[in-house]
Amino acid sequence: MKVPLIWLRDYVDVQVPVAELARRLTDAGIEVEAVESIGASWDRDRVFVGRIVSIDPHPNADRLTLPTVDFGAEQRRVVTGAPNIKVGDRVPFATEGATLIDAHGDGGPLVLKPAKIRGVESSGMVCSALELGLGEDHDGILILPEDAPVGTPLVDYLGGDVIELDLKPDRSDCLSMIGVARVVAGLFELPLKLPELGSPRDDRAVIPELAIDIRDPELSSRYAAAYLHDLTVAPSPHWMQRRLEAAGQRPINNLVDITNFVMLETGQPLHAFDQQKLRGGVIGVRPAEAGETLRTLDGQDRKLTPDDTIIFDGGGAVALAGVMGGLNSEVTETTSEILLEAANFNQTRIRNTSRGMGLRSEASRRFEQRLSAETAEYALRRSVHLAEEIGAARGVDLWEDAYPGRTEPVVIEFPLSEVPRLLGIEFPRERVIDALERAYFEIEADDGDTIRVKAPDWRGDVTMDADLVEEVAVMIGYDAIPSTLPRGGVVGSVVSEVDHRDEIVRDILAAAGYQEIITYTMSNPERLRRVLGGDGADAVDAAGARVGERFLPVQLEPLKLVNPLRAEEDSLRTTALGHVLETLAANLRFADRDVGLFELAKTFIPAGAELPEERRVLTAVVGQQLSSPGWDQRREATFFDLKGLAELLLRRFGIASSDTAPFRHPTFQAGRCATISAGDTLLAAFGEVSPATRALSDIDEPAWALLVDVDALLSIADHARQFAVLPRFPSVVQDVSIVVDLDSQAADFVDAIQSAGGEVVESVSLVDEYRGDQVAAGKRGLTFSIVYRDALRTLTDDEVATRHAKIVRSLEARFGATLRV
Amino acid sequence: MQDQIEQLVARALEELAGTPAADLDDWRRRYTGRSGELTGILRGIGKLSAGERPLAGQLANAARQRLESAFEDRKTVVEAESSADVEAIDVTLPGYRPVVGGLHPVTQTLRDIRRVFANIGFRAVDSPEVEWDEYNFEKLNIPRDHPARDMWDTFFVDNPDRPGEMLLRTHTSPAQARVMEQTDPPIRIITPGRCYRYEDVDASHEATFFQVEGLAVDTNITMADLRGTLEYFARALFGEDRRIRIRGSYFPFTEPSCEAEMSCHVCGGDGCRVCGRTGWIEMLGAGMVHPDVLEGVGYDHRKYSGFAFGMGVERIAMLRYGIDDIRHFYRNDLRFLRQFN
Repeated sequence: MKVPLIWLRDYVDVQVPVAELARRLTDAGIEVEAVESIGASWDRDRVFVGRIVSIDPHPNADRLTLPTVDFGAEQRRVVTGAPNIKVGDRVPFATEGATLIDAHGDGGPLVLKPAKIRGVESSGMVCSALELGLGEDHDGILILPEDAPVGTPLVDYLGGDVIELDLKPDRSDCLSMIGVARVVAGLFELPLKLPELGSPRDDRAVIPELAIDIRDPELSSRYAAAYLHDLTVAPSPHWMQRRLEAAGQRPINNLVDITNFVMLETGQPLHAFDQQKLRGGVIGVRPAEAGETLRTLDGQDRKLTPDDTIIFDGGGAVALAGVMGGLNSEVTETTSEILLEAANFNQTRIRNTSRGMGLRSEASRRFEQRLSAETAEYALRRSVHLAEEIGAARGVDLWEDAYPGRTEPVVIEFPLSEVPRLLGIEFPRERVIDALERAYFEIEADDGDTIRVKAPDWRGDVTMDADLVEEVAVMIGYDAIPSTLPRGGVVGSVVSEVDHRDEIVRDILAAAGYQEIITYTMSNPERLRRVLGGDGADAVDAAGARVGERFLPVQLEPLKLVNPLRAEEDSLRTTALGHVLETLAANLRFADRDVGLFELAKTFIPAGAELPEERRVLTAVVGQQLSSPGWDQRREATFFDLKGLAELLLRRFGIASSDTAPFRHPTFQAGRCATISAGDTLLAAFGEVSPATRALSDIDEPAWALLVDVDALLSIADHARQFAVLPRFPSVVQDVSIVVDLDSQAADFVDAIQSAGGEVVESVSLVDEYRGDQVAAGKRGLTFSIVYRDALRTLTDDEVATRHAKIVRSLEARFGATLRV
Repeated sequence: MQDQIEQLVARALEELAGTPAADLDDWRRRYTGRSGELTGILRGIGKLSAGERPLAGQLANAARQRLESAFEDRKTVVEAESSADVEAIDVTLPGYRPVVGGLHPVTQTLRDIRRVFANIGFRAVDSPEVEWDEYNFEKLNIPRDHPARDMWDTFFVDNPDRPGEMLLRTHTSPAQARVMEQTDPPIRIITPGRCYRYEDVDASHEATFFQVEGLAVDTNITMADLRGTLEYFARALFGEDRRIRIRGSYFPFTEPSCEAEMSCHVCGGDGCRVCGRTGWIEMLGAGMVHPDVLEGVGYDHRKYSGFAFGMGVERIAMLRYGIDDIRHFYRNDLRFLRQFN
């Protein structure tokens, strides 16, 4: 909503600087989005309204002419290439030193200097709209109205500040100059001056009959019409054109301009019908019938439904109510009588129709919001008054008026104690009452503690005492409210277990060298299924199926958006792995060679008609190169890096015993991936990303991924820690190197060593794995380091040797292992 | 004799301090060897009287032990020094930094926000990202076809069983209704989380963003408490001398409603590029919980009052770090992310 100050000052004599006005309005919740100053750069002493006195040909150029311009103080001859001027035209005239816009250059400022153009001195310039910053038009000189006063500084004639409001839906009353003027008058404690309307002067004997037929007050609470005749179509006067233009409305002719002017002035949209095209002396409002059509003013045939509201006459639909007129009743050059409509329609229906048809206009915008039905009458009276004043027509201002939806004013019992209860500050009661009265609320009764307040009809947003508290805060100023902290409070933990867990998980990953990322939650089914690599359905075993179900349920139909922004983001992801791999690929392309990434985010598992399960999964990936501390060190990521990361997490959550087992799933490289479970609970899956999966993610080097069910982690977490007495007696460490089958599992040997060695085996750890020529085909070498210790005494060499030999025999017997020498 | 021994020890130790490896044995010979000075003094003990002899003996033995011990230490040092004959390092070569990753700047900012509000008793709660229209709008006093719905362009989720009802929450405000339905006052919560708006992405708008909602409800909560809470927050995150100003606004679920602005943390309020030369920075929207919202969850709005606010996390992060384009956050370019580690 653009509010030119010259227009606003017609109703309230506000003279504060525009910045101050903008600030006060914004403080009051009427946000001033921008302040535009038309003609701010037009020097009063250098840019004037001029008149072309004569035009001489240029001696040296056919396309140039030499107009002489009278600008009050003197006359000057200039050179111009403009084709559109003639003697007598009023034009903007700039003298030396004026600042204009460089229309031929970069659009920046240009200070006018005397110049010789093709041998003739030019001592000034006649200006185009573009050169004055008034628009894009540079096809010719801006021709001013014939009555423009010659010699007047142009800034006084055309300039002025315009404030642009970004109105919230509650303040539809400010979709009008008068509405804004009321607020300004209240804020600055100034009188409001509404236009005098006088009495209608129509002396025409015969006025046609008109019946108004509102079929349902739900469709239209009021429908009023004025009657205009003796039309004289002409341009509107300068004052009206100037206001309309400054408000962003293009002047057309006096009749059209009046409807726009009054709409902007009062907020009431008006529609003009050619009265002689209307049939049957009746006009009304009804829902469209299914299948009914109407050709609207833009020439389109609109197919209507009962959700649309139409204006009809004796012969059928003549307009789409509140949205657009019908072509069959259009006002044209031959029109001699007008029915001018001022109505109030059901805002929801107008909204749905204007949206459904993509027809949003200044009028429909006002109808979609709350509009006081009371305004209709004033708008018609004002229109007819203006038409007579500017000689556009004569008329009957309130020809017919059907008002079936009249409502009582809103009256609120307002306990004054609500003000301190909600604002935290107590104002003297006179200040509270004064604030309300400045906002045009009437105090109907006052019993001391409670006042009865009547809301003005245009403030449909005010219905209860909390609204009045806001009104008081706005008029007095929010800045009066002090700063305190809430007293009292809530006993209990302020950090939830889930948040605490998330912090731990993120900290561990970051400490382990991984960078957190946050990716979008939207994807689409094909993008999601890329993580499966190829088809590969046959490559899934039972364990792999569980991994798929828990972490990669991409075969599930994801939740679809009804209105996606992009096709590749039309669904909610069921796994984050795809996005994380895409991010890995992108960063590898930026030539980062050591990229470890993780995301701890929600995935959305559809749950039929119910809200989806929002499942939190940790997804970590690493490329071929592992980050290493040294600038002279390089290390490639391995299976064991991912496994170790998982183990670190498990340990942090106190999960002491877990099983690691291989699985087959097409996302991972078979033989190089594993799950980690505790009992029946699947906690994690990790391994090398299958070549097909990474190829589909545009990653052309080995990549590794880890998926962790952090909710499962939390459900079995054990944060208790138990102190163990530090050993008092020395330990003995002995290694054992054995050759075993290639497909054996290291964990089995550890178990076997523990059970064969008994209590004196304090710990067993794998220290080497050998694959190569020095062992037979199908075999590998493993070296375990065994720590022997007795808690109560020092072990002798013999005791250790005996125990060690027993372990070796057990390994030989159980696994066919041979000692490696 | 005592003085004589002490002087000898002092002289011997002083000499020892600078003695190189090659001369160490010579030093030993001169002081504690068979014909060394200390030995000479010891021999003289025999000439003393029987009363003086024991004390002199003790002193001389102690002196010998001190010198022998000093000799051993010196020998250890010079031997260690002679073996540490290494090549010099170019000390300007970069260090080996332990590999650590980092947290996304949005996570870091969220943590700071949580911490600040935890300090004044606000508990962080989670709430669904996929919501019902009922919670995202209706329970927040925004019925269907309300013109205020235009304030939130919404992504709808296809749900044949309940068409038009499932959506991606447009703000974290649904958590207000969810928490209040399940809890009696007093309430002090924040609800951080992801929100979605059906709008084009540009340098200052994201279709996906994080918000933190705050809610306090009790028998005595006022707008002054709101202002004080926001001031506490602004000071904790942006410096002790931040001021808050509040201006009128409109949200269907608060009444009165307001926008809070903070004095610019870059220029201190004088006006600069960051604050658009106004000295103030828009922070968030807020207000007193609307009586209809309170009644809708079964609270008596005459007995209880509350404030609510909602802030954009990326915006806070952009202000803190001076980031000029919101799109950086979710491109996840490591060259961006690593700047905040």
